[in-house]
Formats: sequence, C-alpha cells, structure tokens
Amino acid sequence: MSAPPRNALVIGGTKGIGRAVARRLALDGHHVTCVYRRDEAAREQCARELGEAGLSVAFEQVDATEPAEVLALFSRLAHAEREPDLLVNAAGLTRDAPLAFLSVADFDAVLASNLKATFLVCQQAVKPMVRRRFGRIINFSSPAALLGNEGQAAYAAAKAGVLGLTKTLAREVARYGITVNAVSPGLVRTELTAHLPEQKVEELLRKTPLRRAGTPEEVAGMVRMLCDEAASYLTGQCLSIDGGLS
Amino acid sequence: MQDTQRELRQQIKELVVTTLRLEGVTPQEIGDEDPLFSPTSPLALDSLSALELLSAIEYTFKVRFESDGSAKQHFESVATLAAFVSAATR
Repeated sequence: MSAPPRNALVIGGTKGIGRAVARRLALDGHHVTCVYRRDEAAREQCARELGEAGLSVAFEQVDATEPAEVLALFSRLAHAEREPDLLVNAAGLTRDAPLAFLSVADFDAVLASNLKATFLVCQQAVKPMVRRRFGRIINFSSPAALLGNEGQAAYAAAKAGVLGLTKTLAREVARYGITVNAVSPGLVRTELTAHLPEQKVEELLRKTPLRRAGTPEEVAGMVRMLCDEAASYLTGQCLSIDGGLS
Repeated sequence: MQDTQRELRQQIKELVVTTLRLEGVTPQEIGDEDPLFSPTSPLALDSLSALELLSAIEYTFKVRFESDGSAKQHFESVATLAAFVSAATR
C-alpha cells in the first residue's frame, strides 16, 4: 500500500458489512478499532477471523447512542493515540413494521442507532481530524432513504437523516481537508437483512438489475475507495452500491 | 483576579489568534468579555471556525466539551472559556 497507515474507527465493526470494512482496512495496513454495542460472541468471532488472517484490530464496547459513552470512547482513543483519521459509521438497526403497528419505542430506537449515533460519533471524530487537516468519514445510508420501503418508515427516515447529516457535515468541515460521504448498500445478506421474508428478498432481486444480492466485501471495497487519499475531491456524496436498484 | 486566571485568559487569547490565524489582531487587543462568535463581535469570527477553536482548546488543555449544547455558552467570550477550562481541570 502506498498510502500511509491511518487510524480507522469502524462503528458496528464486528458484524456484517462493518466487519468486512474492518477487515479490508486492516488488510490495507490501517490501525483499526472496531466498536460494538454488546454482542460479545460477534466480537470474539471477529477477533478470531481477523487473527487467523494475521490481522490485529482493537475493540471497544460502546453504546454509541449515549453521549457520555461516546465522549469516554474518544478520551480513550486519544490516550491510546488512536483518534481516527478514517471513520466508518456502519452500525445499523431495523425494527420493521407497517406504520399502523410501528411503536414509538421502536421508532426512537431505530432513529437512535442509525442517526443519533452517527451524529454523536461524527461530532467527536472531526475534532482530531480538524487538527490534522485530514479525515475521511463514511456514513451508511440506504436505498430506502430516497425510494422508501414498505414497513421501514423508521429505518427510511433515519437513513434519509443520515444523508442530510452527511451533506451538511461535508460542507462544514471541507475547509479542513475532511471529506464526508455516504454509501447506500442495496440487498446484502447479513444479520441485518436475515429477517427479511423470502418473498421480499425475491421482490428486491427482481428490481435489482444485477439480479443478485451484494456481498459485504463488495461494499467494503467501495468504502475503502472513499477512504483513499486519492478520494480527496469527493465529498457530500452518496455512493449507491446496490446492483443498480436505485 | 488571580494570576492563574489572568494567565489562562492570556493563553486562550493567544490560542484564538494562532488557531484561527487572525491577521492584524494581537492577543492583547482581545478583551476578556468581547463576544467571540456573535455577529456583533469586533473579531468578526466565522461561526464554522468554532470547531477549530474548540478542538484546539480540548487538545491544549486536555478537556472535553459535552454534547449537551453547553459548549455554545462557554464560547461566549475568553472569560467564559477560561472559566470552563478552570472548572474542567480542577
């Protein structure tokens, strides 16, 4: 790798697409810290898999929806000289229900995990990036943000919020050499999409010109591209990685 | 005013000038109570540059501003910033 190794922070880095991103960035020689909320089994599996590949990453258990926990995380990262140059907000949560049955509690939980956590982490992460005059932030949106998706009112609203946050933050921090972009993965088979009924999956695949689900590695490859030094003139954009769905 | 508080305010004024690369402004010209980011501020600071100053203060004094909206109050003037740093490092 010609680019210098950077500190990378991957929120939701022990599962699904986040894990593939962590692996990809670690393979590139970056110093990766994976944040997970509570699933110790997933953390152990992630550590084992990366270890078998000869890769070493750090782990932090943090509820990124809690401001105090996010502040404490960044204090620890500063102490360990692991404040991020690269930030990937890949954590996600769905609580699908048609509007009539969507509870306020579920709506709040989905907004907190997908949008509030992204805001809180971005707010802290930009500070060291400002000092270093370099940063790459990649937030996770969804095709549902712009297309909508039946049964995903909360998720779609949260992911549309992520787009607005991404575009606004991109403008606010561009002067410091920090780029902020979003990716919008289509159907990717992970724990997050495992609950989808087969009928829904088939319907999504019919609408997807490439006629197949994406892989976490395909999304990670695009995230890696956005993290690259060469991606310095791309900011405030959303990259759809959805097989042509949108 | 105690010497330590006076020194702290002076340090913050120097940080404002150097961090925000203010041309034609010396730390001595910044009053303790001058508004920093208000439209009426004689310094005419751009509100988006508050992030840079906030980052510099956190790094220099090893403090952290909360995400509860209180940061805006601390950035009213050099005096309020110094009070925050004093309280946070006590």
